[in-house]
Amino acid sequence: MSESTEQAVAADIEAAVRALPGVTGVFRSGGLLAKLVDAGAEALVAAEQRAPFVRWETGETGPRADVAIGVRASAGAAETSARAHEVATVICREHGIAGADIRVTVVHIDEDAVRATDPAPSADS
Amino acid sequence: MSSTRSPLDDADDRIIADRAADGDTVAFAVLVRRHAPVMRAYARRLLPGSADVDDVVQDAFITAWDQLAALDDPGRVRSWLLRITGRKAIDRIRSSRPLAELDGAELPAPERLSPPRRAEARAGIAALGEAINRLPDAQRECWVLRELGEYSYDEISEELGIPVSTVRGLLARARKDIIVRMEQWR
Amino acid sequence: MNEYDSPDLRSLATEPEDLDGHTIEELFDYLDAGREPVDPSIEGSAGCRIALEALTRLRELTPGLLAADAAEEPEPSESWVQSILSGIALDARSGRRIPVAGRVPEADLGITEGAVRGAIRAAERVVPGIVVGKCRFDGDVTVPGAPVRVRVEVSAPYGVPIPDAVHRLRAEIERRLRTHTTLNVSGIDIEVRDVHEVRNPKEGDR
Repeated sequence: MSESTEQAVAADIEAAVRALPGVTGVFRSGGLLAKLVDAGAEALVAAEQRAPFVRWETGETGPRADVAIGVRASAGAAETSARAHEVATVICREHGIAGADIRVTVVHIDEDAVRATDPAPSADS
Repeated sequence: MSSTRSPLDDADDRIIADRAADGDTVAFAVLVRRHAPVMRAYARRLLPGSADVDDVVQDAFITAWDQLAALDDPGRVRSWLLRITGRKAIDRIRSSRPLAELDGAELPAPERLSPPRRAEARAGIAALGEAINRLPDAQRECWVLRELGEYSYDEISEELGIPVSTVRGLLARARKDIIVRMEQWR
Repeated sequence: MNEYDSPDLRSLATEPEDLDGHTIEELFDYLDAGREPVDPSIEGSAGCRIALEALTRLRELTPGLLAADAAEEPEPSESWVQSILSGIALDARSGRRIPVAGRVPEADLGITEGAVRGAIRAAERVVPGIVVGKCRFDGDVTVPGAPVRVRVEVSAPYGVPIPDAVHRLRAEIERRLRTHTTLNVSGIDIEVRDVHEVRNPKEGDR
């Protein structure tokens, strides 16, 4: 697979994952969640005009994608990461790539804006 | 005015520093707001009249963030922050003048205008502040590190790169100058 | 004039010849030692006693200087605070990658320790005023199914019944861990480290 194809797949995965409900951002994987100033803020700074944040590598065991995401608390990290994995798998299939190892990591959970005046969730759930 | 209060503003340094060490930027911002004034004040004593004070404090906080996890006693975060501030200020001092000048030469301090002070809580403290700013640089630095930064003589010697005996001499002269000046103002 | 009983401070002098052979440094060390053991040659010297008095005054004023200086400094502006925050590296604290079991067994899902800690801290909102401090995981969080104990330190607001606060906080942390992870949580230990005064609940309410 050419480098430009890899970049295209990575960019497509990033866009698709970003569009998922519950996903608050896609971050440069393997590192920078840097400069997300306010933990609760939308951290979609400069989403365009750059290399995809999804990292695509071709290792010994085949292609591999690393996806780092932020998740809205109410959506749940376990559920949302599973959905991100599904959507990334679909994108790979669309590009004719089978058996890619897709790794999704939740690097931040964004709290929903709840004010202290809201009724506290009951503890007996 | 300050942004919306959070419960973090009421918690003590230890719990806030622990939390910032765990990666919470909101807690770190509480430390920044809480300690920036004293860090600025300290940096200003080391670098009077300098435009670098804000940069020094900013650098200090960035270093602090990186090293927070290694802080042994989060309850002492204030003095730890002052330490870092001192080191950053000394870096500026060392880079801005040749070492030889630190060697205790009795260069008279330029007349520095202290910033307009609001109603001073204590005239004595004002006089002290004035006296310090009139000390020659090397004396002032030694005195500030020793008395405000709680450095040992050895630490001052190491930080400023001058012999301990010189530190002793500078401190003695600084104290002499300060008390003489303060008495003049009584 | 009786210079032993009422030293005239204006006659302060600091050279050894004015201090009956003593130096300011010596006098400072003597003060440091609490003027003990009593040194008659110092205590009996008018010049020394005048200098000691001046040094004592200096020592008394010094601790207040930084506080007075700090009070003169403006409160940091929000934009300045933000400019510091924008300069710090957030990934520094991400910690270990904790595997998450998904519906598809071979899906490689995970969450960083830092993200889980953040979610645990945010559980504090169920008890207004409580502040979560340090948060630790005992056990190997990188091994799926391995038992993990969660240890959390908190500061409680004054006046809130602590057992109730801890109970609610624990339930919320538990709920959050279930929502965000598939950790095998064997227990959640909440240690109330201190109680803090709530100073000014909301600005503008006065």
